[in-house]
Amino acid sequence: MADSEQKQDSEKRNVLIAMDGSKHAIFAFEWYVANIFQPNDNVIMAHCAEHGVNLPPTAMMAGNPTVIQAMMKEHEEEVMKVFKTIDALANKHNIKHTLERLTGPPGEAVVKAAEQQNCELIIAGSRGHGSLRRTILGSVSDYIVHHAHVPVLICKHEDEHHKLK
Amino acid sequence: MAAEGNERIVLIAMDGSEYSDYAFEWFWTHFHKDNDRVILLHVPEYHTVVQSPMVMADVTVITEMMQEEERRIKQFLEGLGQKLKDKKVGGKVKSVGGNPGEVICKVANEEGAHLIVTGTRGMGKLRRTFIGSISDYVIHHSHVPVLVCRHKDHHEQQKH
Repeated sequence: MADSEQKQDSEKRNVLIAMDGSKHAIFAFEWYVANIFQPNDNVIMAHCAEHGVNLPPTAMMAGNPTVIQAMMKEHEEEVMKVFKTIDALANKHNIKHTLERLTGPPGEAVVKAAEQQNCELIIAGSRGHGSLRRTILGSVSDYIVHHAHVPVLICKHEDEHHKLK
Repeated sequence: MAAEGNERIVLIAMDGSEYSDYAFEWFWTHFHKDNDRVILLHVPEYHTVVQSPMVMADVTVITEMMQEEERRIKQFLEGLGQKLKDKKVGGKVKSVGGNPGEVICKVANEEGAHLIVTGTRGMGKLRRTFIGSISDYVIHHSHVPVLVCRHKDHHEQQKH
């Protein structure tokens, strides 16, 4: 049907992929590329760098500017590392993309960014950095699925599947 | 797990509500690829009929209601089959009884689905959460990626 083909060809989708640098996010991205990606997609890879409270209280209480500065520098380096990983990943697959840095609580930041940029789809891995393994779904992905105003694709990491057997 | 241009097997959970209809349509418009094999899964729940307050201990009434329910389900399944025909997509319609969340995950496993698609909420009228208990179950227990299609109506109603 010519109609639907036209639709697919000219349709540009804004897709936001929540990336925290964990292997789950990397898996989610690669799954997206292998199964979902369409050439007209506008891929936004979003990383939430500032969680709102990124310095432990002790540093602040010490009031030592050098310590605080060192911690901020370290944090910044970590963030840059994540962005480099994400960027390299996208380039490896030859996917045109934009990198975005979000601030605030990760779940909220992702949902808000998707809204502001009129994304049609949010993609998230099943678990992030958190090591609490009580559920198969991390708190951020859980938040996104419950609060997003658009369809959300949750990519399960293969490892989970095997570890639970 | 990557399909790499080969066929993808997609399982779409259909309960007859507008939410799953929307999920199907959204998937079709935005997501589907030409060589997808689509499995439309319906999980009929007979217990809703039996729990109806109108049912006394009269066996005839119960039988009638169940037959009525069977007819309705059959009609629904035929409608689903028609949907697949209309979209000219390969696949099948399945009806499996049991606990919806569990059935969805089990069938997805059996059929080797690459992706599960669900709507956000089903038949329940209770609107306390954005996502129904079944979709919630599926995202927590599925071994494959799950696409949760939010119904756009939610978006408008939640603005209050």
